[in-house]
Amino acid sequence: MSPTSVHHRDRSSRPPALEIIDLGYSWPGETGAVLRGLSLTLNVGERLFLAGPSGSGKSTLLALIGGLTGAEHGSIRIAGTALEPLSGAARDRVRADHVGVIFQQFNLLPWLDAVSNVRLGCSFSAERRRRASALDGTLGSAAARLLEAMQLPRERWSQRASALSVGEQQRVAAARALIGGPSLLLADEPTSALDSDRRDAFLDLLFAEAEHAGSAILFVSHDRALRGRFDRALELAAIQTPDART
Amino acid sequence: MTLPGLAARSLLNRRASVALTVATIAIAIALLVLVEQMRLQLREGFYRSVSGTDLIVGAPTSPVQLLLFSVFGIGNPSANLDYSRYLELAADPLVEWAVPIALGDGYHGYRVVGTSEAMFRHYRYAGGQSLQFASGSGFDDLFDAVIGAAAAHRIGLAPGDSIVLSHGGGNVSLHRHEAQPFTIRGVLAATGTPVDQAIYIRIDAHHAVHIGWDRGMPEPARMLGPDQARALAAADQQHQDAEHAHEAAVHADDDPVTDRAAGDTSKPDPDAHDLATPPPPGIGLEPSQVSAVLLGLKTRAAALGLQYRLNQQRERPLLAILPGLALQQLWRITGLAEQILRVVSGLVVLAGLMGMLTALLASLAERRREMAILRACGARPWQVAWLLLVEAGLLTALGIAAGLLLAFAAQLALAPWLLNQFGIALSPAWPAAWQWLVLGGIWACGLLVALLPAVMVYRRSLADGMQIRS
Repeated sequence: MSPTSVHHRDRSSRPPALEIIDLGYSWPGETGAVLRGLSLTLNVGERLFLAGPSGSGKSTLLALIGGLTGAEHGSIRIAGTALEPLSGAARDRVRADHVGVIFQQFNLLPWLDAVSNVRLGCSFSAERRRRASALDGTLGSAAARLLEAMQLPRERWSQRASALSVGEQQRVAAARALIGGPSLLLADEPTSALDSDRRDAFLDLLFAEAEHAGSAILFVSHDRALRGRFDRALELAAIQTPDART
Repeated sequence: MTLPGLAARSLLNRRASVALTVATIAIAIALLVLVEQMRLQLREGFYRSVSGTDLIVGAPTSPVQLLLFSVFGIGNPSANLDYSRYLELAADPLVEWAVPIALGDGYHGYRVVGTSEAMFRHYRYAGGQSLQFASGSGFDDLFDAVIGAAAAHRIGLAPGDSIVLSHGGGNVSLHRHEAQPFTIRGVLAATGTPVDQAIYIRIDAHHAVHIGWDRGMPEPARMLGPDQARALAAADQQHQDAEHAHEAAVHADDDPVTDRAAGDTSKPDPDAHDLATPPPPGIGLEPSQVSAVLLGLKTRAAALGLQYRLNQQRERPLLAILPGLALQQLWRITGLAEQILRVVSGLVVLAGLMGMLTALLASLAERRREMAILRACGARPWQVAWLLLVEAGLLTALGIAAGLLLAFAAQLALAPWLLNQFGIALSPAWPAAWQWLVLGGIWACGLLVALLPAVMVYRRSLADGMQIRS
């Protein structure tokens, strides 16, 4: 895929999409840290596969990156903005502006149609709306282009999300996470509900659109068969200090 | 998509339970509005009926009772007034007009009022409107009747029809005035007052049909035949005309006011042609009693003074009331019941809001997933909580709107019944300004009630983050 969007030209001059230094976290009231001394850098537009078995702190890491939980130790920067000094609301704003999220399942508001679900990705960020319009003219055309790119048949666009198949739902979720070109796409086992053919097709579409939007991808999964498709692959345990998990 | 838009879509998705919640609130609001509207409308309707009458005079009783039986046909007089008192009142220099009211008979459940032509000429309602004839005219023959619009419509009577009155006002009566049938002479135009619900006959005819009923039972031997009665009435009239001719001669400038009284205190003589000859004693058609007298005064300001003067008569006591004040007394009596109704409807509104709270709380579990999705899209916890408040605001607003429509429809539906029962014309109305304030307060209460689930959502979405727990 050749670089086509404006985001790619000045890639080197922009801060990393995600920069984690010496991150530590333990659940309140529990001894033994969930994460300890975790460091990680994700450059602009980079695709990283992060492997870890369930219970290894993946969800905690995603909550910390999303700014939903405050870190106990260390620092997280999203597109150059450090989260630690920020209030909860300000962290929410950073997430709204810079982070798109795709879950394993239950990604969509079941009572909204596909297009509205995609537009929801911009609902809480003026910055995302501005970028979506800059990229595609209007918010509506941005949503339409993404759904088109995700190969969702046009007659399905106005269907309520609950009427879509799992594969279709994941593609709508990807479109929602990508609208307005977030710096970072967090994907939490997004393919585990898909069979292998659909999984590969989904990754193709996801990568192409992330490329177009200039979004870096942090793909968290226990399915190591996918790692070959990413720029880099890391084990969650390997990027922490050795005694992180006992 | 804006937050209100999202809330509306979310509500639309749960439309069945939302409809039930809205219906609950709507019924509560309708009850509240209806109680208040009916109260105001009834008061206005009652006031319309007496607004043109300055004083009502009757035998000593309670002012409210006198008001209710004389104008509204509710209840019966416990005592009557001597007819001579009516004549005195009619002759009082302060009095512009006097309308006698003699009660006791009915027809198909409608009350029959013995009165005089003055009723049609002078009675005023709703700020000075006078009675109009929709068809026919006023009394001509002794046994003529004029019927109110609603009664005529319901029974299906038109001028020329013949009716036989029942003795006693009820629907079912054991005795009827078979011997003296009446003919409908005129039908009054609708007024929206109890006038519509009555049948008017001449007070001397009222007297005539009751001759021979002294013990509440007919004694045919003593009863007057129609022609006998007519002859007596004609004699009365001649006598009266002669008096007026005499009066006119004395007060050359005075207009003879023939309707002031159906006769004077002297007994008429069927064969009297000679004015100089005093009428011989015997049976005449001059009534002996009236149930009440409606008075219109030359100046309204005189009402208080005349009322005081009339009520001060110790030797022959009577009761004079100012209709407006008597109505106030009536409202004081009904005030407690109104207050209870208000409290009850207020509680029903509270129950409606509690129903909404229940529905919102019940929806929280299934919404946990949606909250996580919204959070992942960048929503702040307060925005997720705000969504619930917006929903509650929409629900309450919808409930209030539906309740108002329901109340309006109920007024439309109740209007004919009230008109039939009390002769009070309701014009369905939207709430007054201060009622809108109350409704606004209820809306605010809806938001207040939703604060509980909103706070729960706030804390949960803070704790859950974008983790999906379902």
